[in-house]
Amino acid sequence: MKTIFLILLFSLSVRAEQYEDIVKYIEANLSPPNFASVFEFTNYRLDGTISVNEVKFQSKDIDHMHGTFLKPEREKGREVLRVGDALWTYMPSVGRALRIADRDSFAGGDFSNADVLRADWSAHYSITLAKETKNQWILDLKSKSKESAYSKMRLWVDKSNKQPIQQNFYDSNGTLLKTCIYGSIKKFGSVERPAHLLMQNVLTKQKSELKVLSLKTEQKLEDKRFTVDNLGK
Amino acid sequence: MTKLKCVYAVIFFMLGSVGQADDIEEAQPLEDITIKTSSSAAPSKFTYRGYFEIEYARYWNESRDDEAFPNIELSASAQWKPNTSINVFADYMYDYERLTEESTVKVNQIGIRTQLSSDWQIALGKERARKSPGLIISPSDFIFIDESLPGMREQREGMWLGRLSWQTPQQSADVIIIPYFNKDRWGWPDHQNLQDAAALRYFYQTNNFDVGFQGGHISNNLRLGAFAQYFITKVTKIYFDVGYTDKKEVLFFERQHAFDEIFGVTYDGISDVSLRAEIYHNQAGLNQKELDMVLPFLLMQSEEYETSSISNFLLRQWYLIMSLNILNMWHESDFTFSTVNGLDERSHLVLARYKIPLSQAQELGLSVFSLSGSENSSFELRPFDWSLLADWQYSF
Repeated sequence: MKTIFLILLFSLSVRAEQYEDIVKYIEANLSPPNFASVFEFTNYRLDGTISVNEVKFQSKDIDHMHGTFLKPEREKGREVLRVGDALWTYMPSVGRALRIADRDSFAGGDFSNADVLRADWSAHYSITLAKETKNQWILDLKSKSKESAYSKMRLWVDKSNKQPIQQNFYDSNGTLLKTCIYGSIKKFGSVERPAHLLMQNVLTKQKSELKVLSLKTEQKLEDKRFTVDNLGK
Repeated sequence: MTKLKCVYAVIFFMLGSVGQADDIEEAQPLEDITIKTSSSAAPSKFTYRGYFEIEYARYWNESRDDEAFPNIELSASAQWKPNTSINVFADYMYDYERLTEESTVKVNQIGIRTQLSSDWQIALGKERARKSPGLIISPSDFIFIDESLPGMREQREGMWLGRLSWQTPQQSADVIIIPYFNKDRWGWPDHQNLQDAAALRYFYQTNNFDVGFQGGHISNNLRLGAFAQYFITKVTKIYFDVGYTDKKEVLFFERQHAFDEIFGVTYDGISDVSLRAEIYHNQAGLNQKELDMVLPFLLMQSEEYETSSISNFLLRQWYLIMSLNILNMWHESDFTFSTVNGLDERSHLVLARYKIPLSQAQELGLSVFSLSGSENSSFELRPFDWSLLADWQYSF
């Protein structure tokens, strides 16, 4: 009897580790170390406005990321810097760096700062299998602490290539907040990842798109790029 | 046997049924699309930013009704980085003011920065690097003192300096020599009013806290400063910013051992809304008796106070500064409301600004500016009661 239960527990823990490895594989492709990229964000508002922002990102690791706005021209020169949990923005109009709250809406859209600047779910969420189908794993990610961006996420993963297909984001009451659908899997150097994301805000009915225009890995990124005093320089 | 069968049943149930919620279906990915590529990921050797702005301004008080059109501003800044160690930069601004019919070409920043190693940097020229938390005034920062009201004209003027810095993502330290503290109206060193300065600065940050210290002198006056900011929740920040000088002249009065400090709080818990409130205390400010002595003389001078220099209005000791910023309103427009209120006299400065983009490069802005104060308040020196500004800006 004891042996059976031990086998059972071992089997379950091996599976849990397997799902964590799947999520880590996805993270490693969404946020590889030492990468430089250009993302295009398109925000579709209910009033009919469509705004497009093009942002160049450089990331040493999940705790060091720097972004520079390239377009539109009126946002040119604006920068954002993440060092750990500290988030700074540089305002070229007044030549100053300002420490800001790490909250929702990157570039005025439905992707949050956490969505764009930090895919480190395995560190902050416990991962279990909600369902396994013929072609997909459907994983539940539950927040380990109140500090996480979302209380719960559900992630659909394609078994054939371990790429994300859809991701749902929930608050502490279980209310669905946003849905992200992935597509256009592309190879960028040593990583393979979705190049097209569509984030739909369930509450506001607005949506935003993210397209990866370019991504280069294994970049030599120096620490000076991730210092507050070098913002704007 | 029956017991064993039950155990096996439980095992298969648990292994098989974990995650078999029947109401969850497979998801469908987005359809594949062609995505244009960009070469911008590579570090750019040459970057630039600029804008052209044309403005209509109207000023009123009981004895004045002035119109100014056009006021023109043309700004261009650029950086050239031939390699990862060198950064050559320049930032110029051309202004034409209709009321005075004066044109100015001003140098905001110019110089060269060199990376001696991954952690060490040297800079020579004129540059601006402000990171203290105060909205308009930063008592701790006695170097980059030029400030502007939120949403008004760009304020990027730096200081002529030589700087040696040690920098890491968590902390930094600077040694700064400023041979020409005062500048003329074109941004070049003011040789008629020479003052030198020097400073040591240190900055340290953690996940929810950062602190900065600054110490030095301007001519022979000792200056010290410190700031700290802390996120008590993810969306609420408190900060404290204090400056000290051993000797300071305020109009005709000399102060010894004067502190000025700001205590502030920001709240970003509402989507696209940012709220801020600060209490500013200037120990060197004038009391009512001193103000009564100097006010008649100052009024006789008929000086025109630049609206972009808020410190001209902050002559007293206690102020409440508040700001509301709403982003992404109708058609991506923004609204900013700022107010500075005297607490030891009845005086108010109110600025409301609405900005709406017309295209990727164009913006339209509308500002209403109000200055008011009781008799015998420092705001009697105000050049207008009301100002209306409308501007169109093209960025490149």
